[in-house]
Amino acid sequence: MRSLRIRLLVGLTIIITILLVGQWLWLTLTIDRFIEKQVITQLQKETESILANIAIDHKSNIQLDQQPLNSGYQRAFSGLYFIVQTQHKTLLSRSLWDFDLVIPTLKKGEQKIMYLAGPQKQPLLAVSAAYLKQGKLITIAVAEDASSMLADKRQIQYVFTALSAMGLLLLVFIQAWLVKQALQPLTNAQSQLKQLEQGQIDRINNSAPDEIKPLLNELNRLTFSMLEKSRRSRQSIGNLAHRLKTPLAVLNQVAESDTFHDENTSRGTILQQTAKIKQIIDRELKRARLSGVTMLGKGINLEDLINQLVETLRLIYQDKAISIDWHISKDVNFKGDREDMLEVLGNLLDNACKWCDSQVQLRLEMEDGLVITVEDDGPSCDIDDLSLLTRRGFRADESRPGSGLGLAIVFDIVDSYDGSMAFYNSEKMGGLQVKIYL
Amino acid sequence: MRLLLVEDDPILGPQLQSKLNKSGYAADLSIDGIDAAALGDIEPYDLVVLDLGLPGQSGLDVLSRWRERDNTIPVIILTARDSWEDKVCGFKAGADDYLAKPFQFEELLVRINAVLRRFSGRNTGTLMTGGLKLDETEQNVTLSSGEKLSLTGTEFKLLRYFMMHEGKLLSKSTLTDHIYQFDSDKDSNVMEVYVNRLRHKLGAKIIQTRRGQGYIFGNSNR
Repeated sequence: MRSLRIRLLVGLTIIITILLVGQWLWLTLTIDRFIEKQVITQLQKETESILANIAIDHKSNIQLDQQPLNSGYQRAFSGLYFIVQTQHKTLLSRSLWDFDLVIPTLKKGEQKIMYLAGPQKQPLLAVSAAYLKQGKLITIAVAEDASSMLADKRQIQYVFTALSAMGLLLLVFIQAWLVKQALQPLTNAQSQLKQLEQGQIDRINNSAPDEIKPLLNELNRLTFSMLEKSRRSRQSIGNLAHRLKTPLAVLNQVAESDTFHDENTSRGTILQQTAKIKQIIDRELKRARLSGVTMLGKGINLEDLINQLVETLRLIYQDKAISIDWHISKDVNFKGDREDMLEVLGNLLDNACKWCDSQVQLRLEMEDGLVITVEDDGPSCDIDDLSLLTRRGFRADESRPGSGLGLAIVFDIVDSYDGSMAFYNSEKMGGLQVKIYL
Repeated sequence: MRLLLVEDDPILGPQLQSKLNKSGYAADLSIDGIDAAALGDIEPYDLVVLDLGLPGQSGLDVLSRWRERDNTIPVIILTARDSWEDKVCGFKAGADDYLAKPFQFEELLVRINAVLRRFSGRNTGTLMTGGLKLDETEQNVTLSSGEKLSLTGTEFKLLRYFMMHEGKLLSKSTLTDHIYQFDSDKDSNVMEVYVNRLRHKLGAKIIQTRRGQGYIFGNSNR
């Protein structure tokens, strides 16, 4: 059993059931005995009053004066019967009529309570007692029809069982509710963790019972320190990358200086290698940024972002007279990092601007997810080459700087979002069409 | 053409400065954001090459302050930070171009030329005006007759400035300001000597003198 809730529920339900069943048993037995005892006391009094009305004459014959006794003894099958037994003689109440009720003989002072089968299938409760009167042993048994008492008993049992069952159900429900109530802070924490993961909040609300408050505090502390650590390591990787670039620029300048004038091969090698190092630094820097825990954005203003980007590209390519058209569907919704989106769009549009004649188009639409389409009216190119390029960061055309790296970085970002990237020849515009599915 | 180079790296800065000077620009070097900000406001530079990570004041701040004060001096940002976020910020702050480190010097020269050309209202490409064709890499000039003449460093700087400001009245002090570095000995009489040398090489009518005002290159009715 993995769930605390189920564990508590089952445990508590078992305990409550045992307690209630035990109580039910004890109470039913007690009530049974109480009802029986009342009848028995009644019957004992009857035997005593019969005894009081027995007279023994000088011939040792017993006489019973039935006048003061209960009239029920006179009516046939009334449900009240007596048997008076001596060694020689047996007196039966008239109510027994022709029914032969057999009772065991008792010794002096003995008393016995028993259930007997009576006339007309009446269940009888009988009390039989042996007395010594004027030196004679007399056994007196009084029996009463117990069917109404038994019915009462059953009735009480039914009602009580029903009440107990209802009580049990009620208790189970109440404790289920209590358990749920008690575990509510955990459920809250769980949903907050989910929100934290999706970046909707940046810390868990720690207003919770004392038992889980330290846990939440610790989680908050860990999240914070993890973010802080990844931020710091990203920062230091960034610093490292950027610091390396100035020495690389110096190397380039040295290679291009007059000392190397006669050594074109060495110069070429140095320039090539610095360019390669720069590519490696750029790609790894961006990867490091991606692998860190990013606090996902709370929704970014895409229009604003694209506006700024397009403005920047217009400035970069202002000598080329490019028209950049862009369109965002109204339902477009991107829950990711602003910088990632900017990097993806920047590299794609930059690439398109580099290759196009005069037209670049950008579309952001929603299908199953976000679909970004960038196309240009430049020369078409080898699609297979490009697919290879995204994997290795090679340039398809060495004569134009940086295009391969840009697409490779886009590929890394798209990959980190579990998205995909595809290249087509644009039917509408003739150039390259890049589609990104996020 | 007078440039301000703002770069705090002790090796890269002087190296670029000397290369720019060799390429026919009068380049001043500043290694500090606050100094650079002041220089850009005071001196009549034609262009600034600006590093972003500077001591004193960040390059981006320097640029934003200039633009706030309506200083429209062309600025090329030269930086190690080349994410699109940085680029967008750079252009938003008012940069005219953006070059990521490490770079090849040729690339920087191309960018500088392109921005200067844009600001003088000309198309990019070879500088051609008044029947002359200026080769900026080789620092020589081709006449309409097809004859190729080589130029000395100062002659080249002067001719390029004239060609970029064709038909405009340029005073001697303007010419000195844009052709010599900050710390050079500025004697405006030397200008006359160089103008005469250019006239001698290219023909007397190519540069007209306006007495007490300065010089006009090429067709003044343009």
